[in-house]
Amino acid sequence: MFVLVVLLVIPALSADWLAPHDPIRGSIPDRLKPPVFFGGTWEFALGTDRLGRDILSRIMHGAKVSLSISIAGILAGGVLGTALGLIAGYFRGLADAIIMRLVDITMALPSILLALVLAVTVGPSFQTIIVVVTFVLWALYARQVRGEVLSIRERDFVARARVAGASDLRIIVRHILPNAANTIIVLATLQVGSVILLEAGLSFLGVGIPRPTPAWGLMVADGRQLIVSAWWIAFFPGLAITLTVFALNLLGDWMRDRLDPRLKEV
Amino acid sequence: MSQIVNDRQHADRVLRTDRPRRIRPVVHGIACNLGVVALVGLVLLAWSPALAQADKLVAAVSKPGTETNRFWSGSTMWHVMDPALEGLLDQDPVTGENTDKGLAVSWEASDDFKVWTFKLRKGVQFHHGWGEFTAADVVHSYKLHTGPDAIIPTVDQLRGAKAEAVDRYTVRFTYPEPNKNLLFLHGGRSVMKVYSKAQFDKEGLEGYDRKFAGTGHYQFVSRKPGQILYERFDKHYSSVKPDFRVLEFRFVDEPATKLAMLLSGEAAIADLPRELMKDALAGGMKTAESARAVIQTDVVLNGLYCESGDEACGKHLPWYNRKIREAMNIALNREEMVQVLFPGGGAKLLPRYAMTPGHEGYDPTLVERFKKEYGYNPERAKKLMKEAGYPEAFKDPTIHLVLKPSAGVPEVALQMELIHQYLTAVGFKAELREIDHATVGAMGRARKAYIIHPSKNAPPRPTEVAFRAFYSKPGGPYQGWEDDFTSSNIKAFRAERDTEKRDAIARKLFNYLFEQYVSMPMFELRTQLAFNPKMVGSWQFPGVTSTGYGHWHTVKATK
Amino acid sequence: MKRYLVIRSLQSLLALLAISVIAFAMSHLTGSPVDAMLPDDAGPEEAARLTKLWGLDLPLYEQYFVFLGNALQGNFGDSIKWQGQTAFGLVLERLPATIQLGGFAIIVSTIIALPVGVLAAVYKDTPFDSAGKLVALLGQAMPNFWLGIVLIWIFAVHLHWLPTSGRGGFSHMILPAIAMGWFQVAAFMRLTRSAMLEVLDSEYIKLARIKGVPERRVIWVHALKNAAIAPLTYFGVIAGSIFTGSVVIETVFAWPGTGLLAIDAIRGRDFPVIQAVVVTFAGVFIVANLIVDTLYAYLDPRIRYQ
Repeated sequence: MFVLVVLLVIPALSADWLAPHDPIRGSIPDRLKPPVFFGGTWEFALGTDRLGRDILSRIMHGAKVSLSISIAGILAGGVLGTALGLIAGYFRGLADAIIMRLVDITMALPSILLALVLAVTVGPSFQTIIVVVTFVLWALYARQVRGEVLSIRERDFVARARVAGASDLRIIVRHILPNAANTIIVLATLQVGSVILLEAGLSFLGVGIPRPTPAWGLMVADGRQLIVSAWWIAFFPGLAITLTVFALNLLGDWMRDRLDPRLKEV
Repeated sequence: MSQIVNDRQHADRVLRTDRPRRIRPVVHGIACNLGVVALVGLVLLAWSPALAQADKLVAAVSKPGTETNRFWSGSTMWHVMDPALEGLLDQDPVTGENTDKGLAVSWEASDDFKVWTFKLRKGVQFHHGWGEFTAADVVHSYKLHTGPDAIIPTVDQLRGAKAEAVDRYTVRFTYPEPNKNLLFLHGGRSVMKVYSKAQFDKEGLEGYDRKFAGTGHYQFVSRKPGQILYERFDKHYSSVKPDFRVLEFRFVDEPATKLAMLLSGEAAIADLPRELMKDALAGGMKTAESARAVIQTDVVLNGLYCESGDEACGKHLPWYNRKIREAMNIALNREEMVQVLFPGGGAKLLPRYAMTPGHEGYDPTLVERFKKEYGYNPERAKKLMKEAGYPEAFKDPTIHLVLKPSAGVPEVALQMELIHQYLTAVGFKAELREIDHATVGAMGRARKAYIIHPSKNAPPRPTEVAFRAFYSKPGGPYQGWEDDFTSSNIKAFRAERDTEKRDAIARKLFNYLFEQYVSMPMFELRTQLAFNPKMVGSWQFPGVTSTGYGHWHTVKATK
Repeated sequence: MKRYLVIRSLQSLLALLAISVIAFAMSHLTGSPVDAMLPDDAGPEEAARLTKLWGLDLPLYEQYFVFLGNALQGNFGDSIKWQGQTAFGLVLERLPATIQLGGFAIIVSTIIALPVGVLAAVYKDTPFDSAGKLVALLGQAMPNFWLGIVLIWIFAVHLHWLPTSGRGGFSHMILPAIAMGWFQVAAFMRLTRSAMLEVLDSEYIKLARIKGVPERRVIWVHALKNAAIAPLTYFGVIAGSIFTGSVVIETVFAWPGTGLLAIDAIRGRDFPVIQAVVVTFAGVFIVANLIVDTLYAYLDPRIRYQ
């Protein structure tokens, strides 16, 4: 498991030195070369795409892009959702009602349509994708964290802190958040995969990461037409996604067992 | 239904922590049962085995721009309306020229091109028993197609006439200004189709929406989401009888799915991106090609609204500089691009956008000069850039390339990626942006389209129409070149009546645009479709209208 | 109870109002249908004429109130791209296709997830457990459009077992439902597994075993009946994600549902249709939540007084 994670992170961090070719600039005479063992050569071990770009290099650089989208999006959605979830769960009352209705509204709005609208309005970019991911995720976190907080706030140590005269902010930050942290971390780990898939879906609809930036989802979307004659264009980045999701799920499962055995429904 | 049930479960999950246990089974019981019953019911409803028919032709085509029976308020749907609706003029499937075999048997214009008279065919029957076709139907259709909700291309050139039925089989259009291009509008552009007045008088537009009557070889049966069904009209006036009794269109956007439909025998004809043509041929399919080159493509260097005094002129743009424009053009290896983009043939290099053989101002010498002056020359491109002071001399040296999906030319996205590759290879700082057609239009209408984007001229417009659309101020938003020389010459051209002088002006203008490198002209294309030879023997179509194909009655079945 | 109902209904009404504003803003943000519908060579006069015809020259707030007033009467206006049809009519025409496919996708994911989940629990920490997890995870580890295309090539083109695309008989639903439903399998299976583990550990299962009920019956009848409840609660989340999935899957399989309608409407800047789709979906979601909450409040007195 750790091996897999390492296999992901290393290329992501070192693509600039390790990647054998330029991920952006291709060479037309080298286009659509098959992978080695399928009639290709070691020069382009995983073959080349329609513009003659080396797929291996693009996957390595793509790791950086795909992972940074996931991390940035999950961070943004997680922080926003957690904060609102804490407020809703701790203060209850009006704040709770407003935040939970906002959660309802968010869940009721088809996120993919929002992505399409954003894309045609301001043009798809790294930032718009982060906005979409944040929009999709915050409600999930808010709901989960609120639930956690509801039960934590009734526990003895919270009552004791209150008696001792601690402020609300202090109670939330020092007593409640640490107890909800495990849930949040596990949730985040399990979501990296879904964010990568979301990126792929957006690329499929033409509103993902702008070309020629290598991102895994975009690469699969780009290669899907040539599934017969040049299967490798979509297959290898697809494989990268699959392995990443596997690795992160195993990691998430392991962390859940260690940190938060109660959390089952993610 | 199922969503309501599901949400109940969902809410249960949210609230579960504070609920006594005994309630759950009750609610769950109800919810589960309802859910299962609803789902099984739905699934059973869907169970209706499809019947395969030997005399049915299924065509998997890209979704038309609009889905409506009202031709005049639609766009990019010739290919799926063509079986039932006919215009005044029909085209020969082999030469692509207008013929007298259609609804109009002869036509003439007054010397000043203001009055056009069409003699109509006798004995033509409308579909669904709506009676005989007469001049009154043409007048009625003209009104529909020039009404307030008409959005068909080039409709502004159709408007403005007084249409009258001279007698039962003669119709006359009187324009206040000369209208030289009316035959193009009724022919190659096909902006007006003939609908039944009798049906309209009895049923109104609702009747058309339900089951419109035309005069084509096929009559409309039904329209479902993603599908249109036609059946052969046996009372058609022509001697040509379609081989297939039923014609079904399926709208499929995903090219891989279309190819799969073709290879699995579900569809007999499919419009595939040229890239996939190779896979189709490898799978035993064949291609049908339009008789004429029907699409010209261009990459517009937009934002050069530079008539004197125009504030909108993009002087800050790198491509405002002629040297940069030339460098961009010769940085492209067009020969290589043709091979990558159109491996199945049917494409030629285009020396100047909107300059078409047979139309006014065509200059064959530009074809030769193009090889030299637009040929691939990266060294010279670099030299020109240096002379222009690129990139230091420019505030924003970025070349903004738009990857705009263009209806009917799916190859455009890859084309723009290739251009990005070539430009960066010689040292341009280029960026690809995904902006869709409508947004480019909005930018153009606001005269702020400081971008480079693909454009198409399909079918190739007559020179006067093309000048107006692509090189002048009141033209469409997808053009980018305006300057004093061009506009004064277009003005002179329009005012000139003498044929030879007109030709000379147009030629001069094309030469000027060529030498100014006002855009990056790309290709001249024939429409190609793939068909399954087990079902379809051959198909000959002229190559007219924006979509480039039609004449479905000429699809021959395999013997 | 009455008080709770009133407050909760008011809240939902406010949420719906917010949705209407969002739907309106979303559609108008995309630009103008004039730009999407007008042909390439149309000049400014044509654009001005259409802007007026479609009422887009009015001030925005006026357009919003016209929209809201009509929407309250269930009228979302006439479609621009699908001339001759009303926006709401289009949504209603295509909604059954989406619900049908989504419902079948849920059935498919249940059919795969339940037995795998049960067996994974029974054979906990054995190779079977890991293999089950792997199969389930695969759905969450592949872009659904790619999975869809691969399925088409295997089962329609090479094996000729199933049709490639379109909406027709039952066989047309199988491939898109798998492509759509597989994504849910992992979460669903995981839930089944952990619920089963919990139930298998409980007193009455032990009792059943002591009584001599055959092991197979203990697992598949006694335990599963109780364990099935937990994963079923996940359905709500699935229902939400179905729309998202349907946008992509409907494109790949040319399945004429609301997802496809929504994309086409956005690309065509068909304001009435965009608004109708968004409001319909959000409305159903919110009203369903209201009904559920009310039902629970009725069954469980404690909620009312919170």
